[in-house]
Amino acid sequence: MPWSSDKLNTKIEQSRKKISSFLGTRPEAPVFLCTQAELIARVKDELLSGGTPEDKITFLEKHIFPLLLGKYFKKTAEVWLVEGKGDSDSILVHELLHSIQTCSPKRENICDYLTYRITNDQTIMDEKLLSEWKEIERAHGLKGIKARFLSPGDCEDFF
Amino acid sequence: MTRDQREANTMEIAELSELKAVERSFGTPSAQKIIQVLACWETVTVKLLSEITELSESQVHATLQSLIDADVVKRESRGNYVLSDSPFARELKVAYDALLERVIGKFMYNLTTRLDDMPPDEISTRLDYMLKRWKPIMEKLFRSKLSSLAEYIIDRY
Repeated sequence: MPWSSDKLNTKIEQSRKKISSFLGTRPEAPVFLCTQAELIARVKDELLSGGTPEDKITFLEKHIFPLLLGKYFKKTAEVWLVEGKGDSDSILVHELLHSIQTCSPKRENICDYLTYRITNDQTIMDEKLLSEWKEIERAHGLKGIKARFLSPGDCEDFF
Repeated sequence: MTRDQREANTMEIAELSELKAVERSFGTPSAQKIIQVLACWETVTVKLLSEITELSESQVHATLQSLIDADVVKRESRGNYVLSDSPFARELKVAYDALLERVIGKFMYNLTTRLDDMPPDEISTRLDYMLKRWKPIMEKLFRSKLSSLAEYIIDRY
């Protein structure tokens, strides 16, 4: 069963404050720690109940699930983080950002860029993509990117 | 597929071939794996090398010994191993680091800028191909991104 801890709660509060002062919107999604097995089991359950075929799940289980360090579950509006791996600032901020993200499609890159701007973690984007998003910031301002993130429509449509 | 995408794929394949050629010059697949890790991390123990490369500790020991004999690797105190100070090893590290960042960075760029145009199966297959070959480096350069990509792929199913 996923759990919480005082240490994590302090960290979550700090991340919520950072996001709130950066975006002007405070993410309230509850955050829990879990084991990797628990996270994978939950993802698997959701995919199965959504009708994803078994063979696809077997493939994902082998190649993709082990990469997951955290996940925002839209159905229950909660974040699960793998203890000791996913409780880093950048994964926590990334998942909390997903919980308040309004734009769609092309949800990932804008979320990664805002995670980078909040945490300064360079392992969230490759250099070229990062420089392209810095260019978008120069052209449309950070305010424009934030507004795009919090409004309905294509996350990369700035025109 | 657009012309830009075709060109990107062609470049990706050319760079991957270049990287494979460099890696083949390292010798055996075990030596390739160990050099990948040593070029990426500063010092590494046998235990960690075994975990990252998924080689047994005895395979790691045997491979390290042959790399020490070739003056590519040296043993430091407390069982740590590093690339040696020989001109060949130094050149190898610089060239390999640059090539890896360029190839893997380019791969991640091409993948992430085309995410929404690709079926999730294709994204998974491409990612899996790279991870099979260069997981230690990808984890080092893109640990948070890999988790974000995995989440994206799952949400697409």
